[in-house]
Amino acid sequence: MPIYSFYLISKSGSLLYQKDFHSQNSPISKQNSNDYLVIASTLHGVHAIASKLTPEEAMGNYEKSRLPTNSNRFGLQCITTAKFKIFIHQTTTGLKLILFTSNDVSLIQATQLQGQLYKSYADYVLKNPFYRLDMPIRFRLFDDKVLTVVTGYNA
Amino acid sequence: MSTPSNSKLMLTGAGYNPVIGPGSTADSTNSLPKQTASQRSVSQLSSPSSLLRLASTSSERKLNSFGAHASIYDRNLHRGMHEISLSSMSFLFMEVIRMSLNGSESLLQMERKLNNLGYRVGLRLLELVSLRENFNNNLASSGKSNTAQRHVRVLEILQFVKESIWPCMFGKEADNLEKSVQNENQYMIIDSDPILSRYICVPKEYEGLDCESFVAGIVEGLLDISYFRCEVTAHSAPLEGYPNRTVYLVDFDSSIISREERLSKK
Amino acid sequence: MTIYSFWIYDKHCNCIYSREYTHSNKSAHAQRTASVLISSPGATVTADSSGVEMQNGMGAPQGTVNKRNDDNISKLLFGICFSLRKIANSITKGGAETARDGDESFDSNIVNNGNRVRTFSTLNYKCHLYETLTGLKMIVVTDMQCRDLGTELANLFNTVYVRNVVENCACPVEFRPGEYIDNTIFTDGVDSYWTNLVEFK
Repeated sequence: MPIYSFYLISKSGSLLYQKDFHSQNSPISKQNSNDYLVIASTLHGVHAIASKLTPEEAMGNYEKSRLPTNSNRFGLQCITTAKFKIFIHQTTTGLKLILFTSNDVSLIQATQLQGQLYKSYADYVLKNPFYRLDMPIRFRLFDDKVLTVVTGYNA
Repeated sequence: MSTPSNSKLMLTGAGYNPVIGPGSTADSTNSLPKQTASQRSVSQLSSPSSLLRLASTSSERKLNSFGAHASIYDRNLHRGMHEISLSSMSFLFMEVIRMSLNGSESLLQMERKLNNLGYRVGLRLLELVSLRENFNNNLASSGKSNTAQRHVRVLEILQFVKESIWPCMFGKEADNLEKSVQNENQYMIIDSDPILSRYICVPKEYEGLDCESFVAGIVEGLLDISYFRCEVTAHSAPLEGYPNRTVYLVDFDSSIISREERLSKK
Repeated sequence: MTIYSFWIYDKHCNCIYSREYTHSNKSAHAQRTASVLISSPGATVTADSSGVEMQNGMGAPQGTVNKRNDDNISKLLFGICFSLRKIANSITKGGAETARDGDESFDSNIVNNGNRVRTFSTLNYKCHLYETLTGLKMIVVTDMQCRDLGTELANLFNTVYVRNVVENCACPVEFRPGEYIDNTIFTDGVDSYWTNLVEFK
């Protein structure tokens, strides 16, 4: 169950953090930094539009979902393509954690992993006095932590 | 508050003068309030037994008022594990760093500020820890005298820092204690995973800054007040798996080394 | 399992068919599905259901046909599919080099090697996408628990669309803006196709 990439998007849609994990036969090719920004802001917009499209009859369906805590009640949650899946997790503060994974990863598994990554963010980014909110994250400790969380999951 | 002359004074570090007291290393610009603070601490530190006396009188008062007003002195001195939230501590320390970063012109000055903050903690911490230590000793072997043991040798006090101060502050002993090969007045206390800066990663533009200067200040404060005049600085020395490993370099004054030689001759 | 709506867009990005199903009338609806499941599929296709507004007759589910082709919901739905397809193609190996230049719909590289979006979902609903080689896009909106209906969409295209629109000489294949598939045989075919699925209720 490989994880291909991980994005962190702020509540205003700017890209805070992006990392590609070099796993075998990853279908995702390397992009230049501008493309990453475009992908991030597109996903941010699409996430918001998806909540507008909810059919009236389907409004209360999120109550049936088995995920315990989720603040992403109306927005886009999961995208399945022929070659990979995209999972979007939105926290109560509007931060989005986005995972690009292989097709055999389930929503529950992705949510668990996103929870762990969120914890690393809360620890190694927010408790760092040198971090300014809503600015791109460039910390070696956070890098290492993300890598260990994801490789621990891939193994 | 940082005119060039003052900051220079801060950067060089005046060192501890036992005659003046703990205010001797502090910034001299606002010396007035600090001197009163130092006087207060000196009067407190004059004799540990006075503290004990204070404790006994206040516990009598508690008896009189049937426990209506319990102060910190009424609590048992001997405590088991006492835990505080690491998150709150990290957030507080984060703000401390931001605050000292905002008012500083250079990284050296900033480290000096953190060091000064820690220094005052060290002065008070020593008192508390040695009092507790003494209390525990008395519990273990009753009938011994109530006076605290005072460390006079360099190795003794450094062992005390490693084995008593560190557990009191961080819940674990420091990982290692080493003597410098080049300089005989330099000793190193090594912590592989300093708790206070566990989540802190210094970005490139602040390269060389070590937030553990605060802890170095604590060590410096308590060594100074135990009549071991020294300067303590923190240096990060990362190892594989320990990205925040820190070495606290204790640089003793030459007078301490000569005293040490005298003592070992006896 | 519920099917909420069904949309078809042509290659010029116009919505040429929209169908919404309402499930509010639970009891009548349960009876109807029961009867549908028992009777043979052919019997449910009614002879003619006139006009745009569907009558609550036997076999025909409640809802609207071609009512929302030009409103915002329809445009947003197409927008989402378009953006997601763009992302899926641009970051995939193979499709990456060509996807950046303008018109990608007829690029053989994308058609053969590119990625395609199958479904996307929120906690409330799920959209299933199918795109034919001619650029026709078919989208069905269901509830979250639904399985992937991609093959059903392909099947619907093969059986109902090809038979009732492409092979129907009275029906245009290229639609002008504002022109929809208002072919009652097609509408009935689509309805019976969806109502016969276990997912529809």
